[in-house]
Formats: sequence, C-alpha cells, structure tokens
Amino acid sequence: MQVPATVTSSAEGLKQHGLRIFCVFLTALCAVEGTRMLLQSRATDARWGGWYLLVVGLLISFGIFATEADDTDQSRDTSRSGHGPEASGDDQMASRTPMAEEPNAEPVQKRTRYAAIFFAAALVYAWALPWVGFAIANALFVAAYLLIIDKQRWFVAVGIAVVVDLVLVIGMGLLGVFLPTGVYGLSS
Amino acid sequence: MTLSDLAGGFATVLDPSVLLLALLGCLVGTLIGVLPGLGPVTAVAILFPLTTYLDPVSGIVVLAAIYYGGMYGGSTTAILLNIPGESASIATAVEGNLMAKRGRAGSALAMAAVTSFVAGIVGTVGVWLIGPTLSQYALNFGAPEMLGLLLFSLVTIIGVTSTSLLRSFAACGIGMMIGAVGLVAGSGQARLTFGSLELLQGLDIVPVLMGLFGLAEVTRTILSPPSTEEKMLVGSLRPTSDEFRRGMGAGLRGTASGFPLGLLPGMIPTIAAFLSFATEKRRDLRKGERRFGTGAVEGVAGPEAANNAASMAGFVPLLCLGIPTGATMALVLAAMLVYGIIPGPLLFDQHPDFVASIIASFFIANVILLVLNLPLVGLWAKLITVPTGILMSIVAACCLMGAYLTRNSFIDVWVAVIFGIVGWLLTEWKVPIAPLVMGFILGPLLEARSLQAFGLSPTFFIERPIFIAFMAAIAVSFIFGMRMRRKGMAGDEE
Repeated sequence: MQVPATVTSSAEGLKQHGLRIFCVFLTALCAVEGTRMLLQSRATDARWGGWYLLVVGLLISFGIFATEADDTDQSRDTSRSGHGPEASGDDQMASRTPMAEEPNAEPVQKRTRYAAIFFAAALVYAWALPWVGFAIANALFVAAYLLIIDKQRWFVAVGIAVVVDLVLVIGMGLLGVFLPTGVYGLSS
Repeated sequence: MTLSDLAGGFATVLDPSVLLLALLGCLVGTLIGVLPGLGPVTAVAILFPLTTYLDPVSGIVVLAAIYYGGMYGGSTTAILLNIPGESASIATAVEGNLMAKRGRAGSALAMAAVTSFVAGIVGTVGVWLIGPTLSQYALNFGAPEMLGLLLFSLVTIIGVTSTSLLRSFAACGIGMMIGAVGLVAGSGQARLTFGSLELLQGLDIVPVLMGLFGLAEVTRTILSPPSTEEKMLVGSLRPTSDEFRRGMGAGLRGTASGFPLGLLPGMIPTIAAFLSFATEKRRDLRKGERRFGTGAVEGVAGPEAANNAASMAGFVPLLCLGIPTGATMALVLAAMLVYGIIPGPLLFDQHPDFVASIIASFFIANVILLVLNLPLVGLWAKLITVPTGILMSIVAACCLMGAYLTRNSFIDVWVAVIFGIVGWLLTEWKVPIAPLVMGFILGPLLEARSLQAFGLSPTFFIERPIFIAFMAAIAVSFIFGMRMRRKGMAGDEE
C-alpha cells in the first residue's frame, strides 16, 4: 500500500521542526511565568525563583537553534570512523543493533500507529485506575497491548494478562504494598 | 571510616534476608540487562519504586545488585548475539561476538565476568579509601563552592553527553524547568503549577524517570522491534592460559584508566569502555599482533573492566558530594533521597554504618554475580528468545505501577505517561536524556545555592578561590568536551 505523501511529509516536518516548536513553547512558558513572579512577588526567594526561571528559559531556547547541521558534522565523523571506538555510543548502537535496520514506509507508519495506540492505552489506564482499580486496569492494559500491538491470539493475550496481573497483585500483597482497589474493591 | 565500620557493614549485608535480596536483585537486573535495548539505567529505573518499601540499607543493596546485574546482562547479549543491552557494552560486542563466532563465547563471557569482578573490587576499595578523605575536604565547602561544583557537574555533562551542544543545553534547561514545578522554597509562591493543587508538591523523580526511560523505551521497541533470531552456542567457560593472561592484563589496564575517569562528572562508563578499547587496539597494532578484528580477548576484558571501574568510581562524588556523575547515579541519588538519606560531605560522619553497608554490598554483589551468573549464561541466552512484545507489555505495566507506588498518587501515573511521550519525542529529536535528568535533580539545588551565595556576598565569584578553581575546571572540561565531540566520542548514557 502506498503511503500518502502528505502523511510522510507532515511526519517529517514534525520530526524536523518539532523540537523547535517544543522549545519555543517551553521558553515562552518560562518567560511568562518568570516575569509574573518578578512582577508580582516581593519576597526575595520568589523573585529569585523568577530570575531562575528566566535563565532556564534561556537554556531551553538553545534548542530552537539546534539544526540538522549539528548532526551532519557528527555523522560525517562517525561514518569516517565506522564501528571503531571513535564513533559515538549512540551511533554505534544504532549501527550495530538490528533495531537500526531501515524499515520500509508501510511498517513505519503502522508502527507509529501502534506507538500512538500504546500511549492512548496508557492514558486510558491512568484515567481508569482510580475507578476500576489496579487488577482490572492492569489486566486490560496488558491484554490490549498483546492483542493490538503484539498481535497475539486472544486466548494467549488474556492468559498472559491474567498471569501477569496475578503475579503483580499477589506479589505486592505479600510485600504489604497497597494497590488501588477501585469501586469494585478488587485487591490481593 | 574505620575497619570496624566496614566489618559492621559486612555483618549487615551478610544477613540472610539482605543476601537473598541481593541475589534477587542480581537475577532481576541480569534478566532486564539481557533484554535488547534495556540496560542498567532502565533496570534501576523500573525496579527502584519497589525497593522503597525496604529499609535504606536493603534498598541500596538491591539497587547495587540490580545495577551490576544489568551491566553484566548487557555484556552477555553483546557477546552472544551482538546485541549490546546498553551503550557501554558496544565496545565489548565488537570483539566479544567475533570470539563467540570462533566458538570462544564461554571464554569471552568468563573473562568479561572475571575482569568485571576484579574492577568492581578495586573500585570498591577505591570508594572506601578516597571517600572519607574527599568528604572531609568537602566539609569546607560553603554555598559558593557548592554552586561552583554544581555548575561544573552540569556543564561537564552537557559537554560530553550528546553530539549537539545546543540540544544538551536545551535538555538541561528542560530538566531544570521540570524541577522548578511546585512551591518556590522559602517563599510559598507557586510556580508552573497552573492552579493545580497536586502540582504544588512538585513532580516526583520516579514517575518522570519511569516515563523517560521505561515507557519511552517500550515505544522505541514498538517502533523498531529487535530481531533475536541469531543463536550462538556458549561453549566452554574456561579460557586458555594465554587468553587469561592477556585478558587479565587488559582488565587491569582498563581498571586503572576507568576508575579515575569515572570520578569526573559526565564521564559515563561508556566513554571509559571505548577509551580502553581504543588503547588495547593501539597496543595490539603497536605490537604487530593484529588480533583485533578476529576476536581479541583484550577487546572484551579491557572495556568490561573500564566500564565497571568507572561505574564504581561514580559512587565517590555521589556519596561524598551528593553529585551524580550520570543518569544511573542520578537514579541512585533519587533512591537515597527517597530512603531519607542525604548524600554529601556529612554522610560519612553521620551515617558511617550506612556507607559501610553500601561498600560491603558492592563486594557482595560482585561475588554473587561471579558465582551465580556465569553458570546461568545458557539460561540468559535463552531468555532473549522470549517474544519482545510480551516482555515489553510487562515492562510497561511495571512502569505504570511503579509510578503510582512512589506516592500512592494517581497524578503520578499521568506524569509517567506524559513523560513517556516526551522521552520518546526527545529521542526522535536527538535530545540527550542524561542532561535532562541531571538538570531535574541538580536544578533545585543550584537555585538554592546561588541564592545563598549571592546572599553571602554579591561578589563571591571573585572572592572565593575554590569557586574560581571550579570555573577554571569548567573551562577545561568544556574544551575537553569539544575535543571529544570532534572525535565523535560523546554519547548519551542510555
């Protein structure tokens, strides 16, 4: 299946300019909050806290100016040195492990969708935890991961989820650790 | 610290329950360390919420055991499968996997374990000998000196942990910003809380690290699943006498170079391992033996010893000055703070029993690793064949649970998930995580010390010789970092 060009270009755009946008946002946040503290506070500690935040904002703003050129120089250096000790740790890691294999476009898009599903599941877990309790939230989270992301058969996913759940709930119970029970009151 | 203190430490650690915990820590640490992509930092990050339910000594013993286990696990997969569990094992993978292909995997693993053990013991003795002296000296430090030391630590880490200086500065700033959330110390003024009552107490380090290391790692694995189809036979664990002699020589040289390097902030064990690899390779070329490239035992023993010695040395500034030298040490510092122990110059005076127990636990963890893990090499190798998806779902579940357990707070689960997304994005943008963690931990200290220093004297920066010395050290470390960057030796710890 052909990946739409707009999807690829917007993903690339986010990768290229994402850091810049992120740093602009954080810098602005620091500047606004720091200025507010300076203007509204009379206590020395609080005013110092405002100055501190402005300096932090300045540090973050460096990320706005980070360009691909920084890495280009580096990649030239590491490509020259190959796998030898002169190459950077991360670059070597990337080049040596199978994780670095360049996948084709379709699986990349699919995997990105899986990553999004993973975080969505984690957010649902965070939302549901106070209501349904750890035992149910955890079992559902693990089962969903195995079913949707890992493509396991449903009985395998449910079986593993139940075993993991039992081990964690009983293990924590033995350690005397209290996990949230939720409205159903399920606990070890 | 006297010998009787140390004997007391051994007595504490040799308690059967503590020993059992150390054993479990080694096993679990190795188990996580052998998984592709997961290293000692992740192992410590995932498991340390569980140790908060133990007493401080047992907690630190377990963490040390997990750390050692994680490092050893990384080396095992590096040698057997050419998959370094963490960046410090990459140098080991180069020659170690070639040895494995020659049918000498067992020998490579044995030499890695033996030299790691020797380096660990030498490093522990170093901590014991240097620690109290450095602590005594550090007692003279006032706010300006501590400010100088904090700035030195941050700048050094910024200088060596990434390929881009601008990204490192930004990462440090982001960490400091996260650390600034909550009430401003001493004034009660809310900062970056946006009206949230939960955020008034600030962000706890555990959920932040669960997200940055644990959940972000799971995401990276989803995006690039590792292949573990390659199989390798372990073979005999006994090295030949020639291999042992050459390996031990390289191991001792690695220990000698790794320990002093590990004392410096930002000098992560990975760099020490690569420097040792480079030294051994140059030595090999100079002698005209040309063993490198065919599976040289020196290429396994040297980096492994240097890695271990540097890791051990990191405990000296952590215990004596309260300054972590990298992400792992930052985690250990966070754990100590959770246990109610504040590392710094007074630690050796106020809690000599605790420090003695830590040092004794290093010895014990080293012995356990040597005695236990070597015979289990075959088992660890088999573990890698367990589907990654199943392992990652368990890792994610543990991270989310760990985030909640720190303060029994639901908002911490949200924090972990949000920082998981942030951690993944930062990796995509090639922003290093280590300066962020350092900024998060050291930021509040930096703010407090700078306020105190300026309160003492607005011109302290030209009056205090130690502060001036630290500024000079910052300049030197910056130049050194630039040179390392030019040579392509900078890199993040995880």
